[in-house]
Amino acid sequence: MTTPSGMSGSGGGPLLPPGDDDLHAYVDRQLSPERQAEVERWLSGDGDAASRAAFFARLNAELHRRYDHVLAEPIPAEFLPLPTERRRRADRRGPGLRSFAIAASWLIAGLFAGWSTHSLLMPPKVIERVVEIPGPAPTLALQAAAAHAVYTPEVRHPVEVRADEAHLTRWLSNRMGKPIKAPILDDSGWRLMGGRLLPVAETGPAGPVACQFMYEHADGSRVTLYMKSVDGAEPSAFRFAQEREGMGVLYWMDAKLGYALTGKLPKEDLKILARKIYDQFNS
Amino acid sequence: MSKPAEDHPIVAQIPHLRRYARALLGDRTMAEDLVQDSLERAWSRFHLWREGSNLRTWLFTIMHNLHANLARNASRRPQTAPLDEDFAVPVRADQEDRLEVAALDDALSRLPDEQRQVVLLVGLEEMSYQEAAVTLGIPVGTVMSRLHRGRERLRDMLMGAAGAGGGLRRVK
Repeated sequence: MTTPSGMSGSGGGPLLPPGDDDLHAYVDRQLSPERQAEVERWLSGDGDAASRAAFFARLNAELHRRYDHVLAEPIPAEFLPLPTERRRRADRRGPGLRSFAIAASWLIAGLFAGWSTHSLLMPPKVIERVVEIPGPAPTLALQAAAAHAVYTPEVRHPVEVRADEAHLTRWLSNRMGKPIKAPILDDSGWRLMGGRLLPVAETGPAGPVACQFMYEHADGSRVTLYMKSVDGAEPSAFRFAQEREGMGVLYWMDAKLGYALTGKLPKEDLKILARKIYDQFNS
Repeated sequence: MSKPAEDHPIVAQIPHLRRYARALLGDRTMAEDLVQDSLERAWSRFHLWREGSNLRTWLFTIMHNLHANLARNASRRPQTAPLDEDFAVPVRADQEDRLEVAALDDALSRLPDEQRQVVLLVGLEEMSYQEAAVTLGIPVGTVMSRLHRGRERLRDMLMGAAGAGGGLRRVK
């Protein structure tokens, strides 16, 4: 590669004509404002360079689209130090206020860097209270209840892909076209069995697929979490629909997905689980 | 898990280490193993980190070194398929201005490690070229040339014969 230019020309000396390094630094926003303007002038007169810059920018955006969901995954305990190690380290470092202040500033910087650039992952907070809507339940709840009724009685094939297969969420994320997580509800006594892909009768830009995760309790009862693309929807509060035979559906939406948790559980119990699911998608 | 560990500055970086590892290795299990190994090392050596220096590049350097060891060991074995079959299944034809997920994964996995590292540290982790250079222990000029070669190569693979306008060739 032949790049005669000085990247991120921070003044000092005449600017060289823009080259490949500038193209990258332009895309990565690492140029000084003067150099930025100069590169823009160059790009406006050079179609080939402009189309390469456009691809590089698009590539960065696609990398985020593909991998940003990882940022929201809950941090497993194995990633944290053992309590004894932590204590030893604290002793060694001493209780200095300074180290605490630096630690705190790093945390804030980290959070800021993490969330400010990826605000898409942070839908507005769902309102805590559960709203009961009179009249027939909306499509989301009906579809979820139907899928629940079909698959939960299955003995041999309750799920399509088992929870212990590493590609479960990756596969569903690919097919749904957005990050899908399988919430962990073990501490509430619900073990993830696995999941499946489901068709949706309606078509739209979001694509005609939904998915379902199934959870089982030690007593054999099952709940399902149904998710469907709802691109650009208004985030909603938790809502509850009472279906036949004591089956309840608690459902809500964020900007990307509609969620419906279905099971023969009291509304309050569903709400506790839904809250945990919501938190795991937004942690 | 008590509060102190969660408030630790390392913890704020964990999501970024995971995201980078996932993209670098293209495999969740391998990536999580690499992150866990890196964190074990980081926690046990945190007393060596100089306060006020860049914690992010310190952590990414630890991971880079472990990954380099991994890659060295792996190169002695025959190469296995980088991704499982499910992953290569094409997803729906998306809007034209989006790269197909499978094609992007595939193209990334075909880049030499040294180019993929730079493309991801800069493009995904949004490191400055200087930070990427520190992380990888190479001069900034080398960062630039690897970045250029990596991105041009991805462009060849992803834009391919179909040319501009989003007609992305399936690279298999």
